[in-house]
Amino acid sequence: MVFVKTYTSLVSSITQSVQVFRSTLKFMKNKNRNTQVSIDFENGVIDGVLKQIRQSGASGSDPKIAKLIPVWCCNIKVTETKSLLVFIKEMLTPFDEVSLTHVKRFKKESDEQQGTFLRAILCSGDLYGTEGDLRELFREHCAGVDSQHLPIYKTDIPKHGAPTAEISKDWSEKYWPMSWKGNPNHQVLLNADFDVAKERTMVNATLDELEKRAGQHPGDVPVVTIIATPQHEILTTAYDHRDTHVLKHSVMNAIQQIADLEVQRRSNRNAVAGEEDSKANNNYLCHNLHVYTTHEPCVMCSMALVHSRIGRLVYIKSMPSTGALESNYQLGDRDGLNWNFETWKWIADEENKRLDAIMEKSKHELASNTHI
Amino acid sequence: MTDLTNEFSNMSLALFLAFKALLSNETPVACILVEDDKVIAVGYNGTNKTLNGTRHAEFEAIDQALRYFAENKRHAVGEHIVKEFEKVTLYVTVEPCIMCASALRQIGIKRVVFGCANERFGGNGTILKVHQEGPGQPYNSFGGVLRTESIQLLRNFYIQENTQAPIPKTKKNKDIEGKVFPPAIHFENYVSHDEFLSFYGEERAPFFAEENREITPLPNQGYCIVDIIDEEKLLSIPQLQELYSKEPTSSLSDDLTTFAKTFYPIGKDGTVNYDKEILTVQDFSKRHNQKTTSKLDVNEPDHKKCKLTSAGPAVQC
Ligand SMILES: [Zn+2]
Ligand SMILES: [Zn+2]
Repeated sequence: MVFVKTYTSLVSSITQSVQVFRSTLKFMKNKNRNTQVSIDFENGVIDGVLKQIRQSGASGSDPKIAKLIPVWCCNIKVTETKSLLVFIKEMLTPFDEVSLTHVKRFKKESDEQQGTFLRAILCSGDLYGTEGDLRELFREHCAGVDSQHLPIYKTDIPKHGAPTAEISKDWSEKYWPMSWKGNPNHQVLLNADFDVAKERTMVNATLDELEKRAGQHPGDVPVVTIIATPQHEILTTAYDHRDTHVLKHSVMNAIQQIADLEVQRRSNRNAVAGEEDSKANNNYLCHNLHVYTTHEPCVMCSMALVHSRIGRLVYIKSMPSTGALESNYQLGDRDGLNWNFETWKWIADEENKRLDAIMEKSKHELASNTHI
Repeated sequence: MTDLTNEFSNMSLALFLAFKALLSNETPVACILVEDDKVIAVGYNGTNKTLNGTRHAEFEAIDQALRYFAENKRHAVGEHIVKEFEKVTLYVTVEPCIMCASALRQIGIKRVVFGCANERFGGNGTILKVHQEGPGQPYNSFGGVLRTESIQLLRNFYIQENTQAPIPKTKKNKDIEGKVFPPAIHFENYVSHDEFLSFYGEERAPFFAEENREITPLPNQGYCIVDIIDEEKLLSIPQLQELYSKEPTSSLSDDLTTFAKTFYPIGKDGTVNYDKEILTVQDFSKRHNQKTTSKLDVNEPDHKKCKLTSAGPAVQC
């Protein structure tokens, strides 16, 4: 994919893009920008520089086997459909952390007793603890459905959409009717909507800081983390301080700095307003922020990013022994955790070489078993 | 005979701290760090106060321990930290999460004793075995010490709402009857059989694979929390003294009375005695409101049988 590098200017000619279709690369026009990026769907690589790191892409997982999650279901008469949909839309979906758009809402069934009826998915199995909780909610908020005699039960459905139309058909027969909208990861790659030039700037910003820091504090473990808004506005830059406290890795420090900024912001705001503003204006942890860091974070730091609800992580160098994303555990999108974030590895030669050069110049030998 | 009384006694201190957190509407998870039978640090979950989702009880306690080391001219900076923690045991009411499990490994903790499993994030065996896998020094983690009591505090908390989360849950808690506790700890996910015997003793060997019995301080003997908690030991914790001096309206003996009535006793066969009437968080606030006028007699029989949420111990550590 050497030719991709010629696209760093993001202005491509038609003749050049024709070449590209020889491989799995596709060129997509960015939604909001007059630029094009290439997407290697098979390998999850954008413009040859950003590689998608994800659990389901990891070796050893069979895409044909559905990962199942429990959902709450009920059986209704066809005439009750409208009331139920309103109820789901207003009372359940807004509070549900699990997306259910990859399955059809209803499944038509019939038997001798009831004639035709609909099985309906209400919400994820975790949203309510008991059938009684849900029935109570029905009683209070869904007059159009006979809540007293409503069969409410749990069933297992695939957690994600199927990777191919064929598998989707299989799963529809086996578990629950699926909505086939193409390979869900292709959608993820399309929706990522990277401004690659800006991403490159951010990655180089971490390297600039690293270079500066290595010059000023040659004894420090040479790692830098930047937290930014999704619009690439840098909120904070953090370094490693394990010389004073063994757990003060740059990621932990960056998270702490974001918290400190919010504490400060709220106190300034309250001083001006004279009273506490509405909660709606509060920032919540590092909710949906983007994190750029030079090295693959350790287990502690990766889980700290989960607890902090970040939106996206970009790192440059893998840490095969201590890293907790591609190297071990895949904590960014691991099943069972209550928060997932996008993880990308910056694989462009130029910045990787630049990082290596800075590391070499720095006085600190980074051992392979050093937790980053 | 393997007597776990001291382990239970230490854990009861952490449990009481967690109970204090519950009284002030904070996540009821707490821990203490013990070295040579001395409490050198305590920690509460500080995520709401600091607006930092990583300030779990363990981190608060580790920071306090580092201050303690510094005051005692012990060199706990950089990689020397591992030497300082080599005699320190963490007692924590809930199994450390994946993040904390890794942090504990990086400071070189001697061992961990925990109450209940952390079903969503547990890093000492429930989700990942961070205490045993990967680079660095592994440590042992022994669960099930005051397990049902630790869960009981969490259930009380989840009756209330955690108002900081962005997504409201419209959960209704009425009409929920007292719930039995989830099955006991499945020890083989946490420790090897040999490690199990080294801590719990040969007499408790059947508990290794037992699903429905609780560990008790002495084999074949039940307990109530009042038998275990030591008021003098509690008062020897400087942070707790400080806490009470800041809260003139609450007294340790009042809190201990309520504390004692918050939990079910455990029978001699290790089963929970659900027949006992216990107090819940709603009773606590009732008690608090009545305090200024008349002191509520906690023996009065009008307390309803325990009402619990359906929420299990799914807590951010
Ligand atoms: Zn780290
Ligand atoms: Zn934790």
